[in-house]
Amino acid sequence: MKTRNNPFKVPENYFDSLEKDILSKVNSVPKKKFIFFQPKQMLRYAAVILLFLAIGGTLWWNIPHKANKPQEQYATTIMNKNSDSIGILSKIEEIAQNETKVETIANPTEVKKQESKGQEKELKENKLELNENELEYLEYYLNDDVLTDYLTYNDVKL
Amino acid sequence: MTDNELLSLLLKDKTREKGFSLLVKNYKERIYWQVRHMVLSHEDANDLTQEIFIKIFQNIDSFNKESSLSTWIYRISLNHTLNFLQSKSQRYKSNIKSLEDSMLDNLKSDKYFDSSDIELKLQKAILSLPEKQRMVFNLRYYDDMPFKEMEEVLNTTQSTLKSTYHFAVKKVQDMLLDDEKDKFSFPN
Repeated sequence: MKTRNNPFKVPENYFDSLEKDILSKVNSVPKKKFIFFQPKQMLRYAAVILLFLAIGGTLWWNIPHKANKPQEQYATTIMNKNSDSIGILSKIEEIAQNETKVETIANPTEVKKQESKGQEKELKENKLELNENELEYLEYYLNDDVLTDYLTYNDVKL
Repeated sequence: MTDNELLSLLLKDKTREKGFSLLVKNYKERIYWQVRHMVLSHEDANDLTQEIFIKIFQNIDSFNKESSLSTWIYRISLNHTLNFLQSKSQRYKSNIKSLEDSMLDNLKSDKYFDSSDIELKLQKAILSLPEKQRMVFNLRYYDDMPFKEMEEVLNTTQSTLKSTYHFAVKKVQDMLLDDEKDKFSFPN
């Protein structure tokens, strides 16, 4: 005869007492409340953030230096090259200035011509245009008496 | 009372306690037997059943209605039982005796077990099955759970569950003697 009986047994009235036991336990156990951030979770999140910051910090401090090294080297070589060229240019200028000085010493009439030309240029560049009042004022100061008074007052010997 | 009615009582603060006592009334025996067939000892089954109901009460708000209430309850029950068995087997790792041997020895002296030779042999054969096969076998053989429901509870396809069950039945039958085999009827 085929059977499928349950060989397991329970004490008498067990299920009634089980129900009472469960309900009494449930009343004493507080219901789980959903808290968005529990202290343990907060600590975990903080630890993860700190870890990321530490890794990020070390990467930020180390990797950019390594990456810039060749760039820096290149920059310094260019700077050196530039400084060389600047030096050469300044030397060329110095030589040119010395040459003009030599020329001026050798030919003083030319120098005068150049000076007068320069003054004219300056005058042309800085044209003095006076109005009538200013001209009168200038004439007054150019008057002999005023000029002698000025010279005696300032103790100037001509 | 349907599961939906039960759930509506459980989700309101005013009717929560009433709803929970109805839930315990409805499910206490099913949960107890499900656990008992897995852990064999009455004491362990009693403790676990109480813990499972407390867990259900504490987590009822997180029930998302994706499955039926009964499926959710069975799932909690099975997971809790499996966790218990796994932690117990960890403690037995350093022992010469395995957890299964110890369970069988306790069963022999259990006053709440019909310790006939043939039933002991059957339990020994069931205990020799891997954990998941044993679970499927127990749910089908003792609890008469349809494969469709089992599929939802264990989150495994019906075809997988059917083959697992048939493998388990084959193993159990092989462990029993021919004349003993005929004494048990294994459902398909």
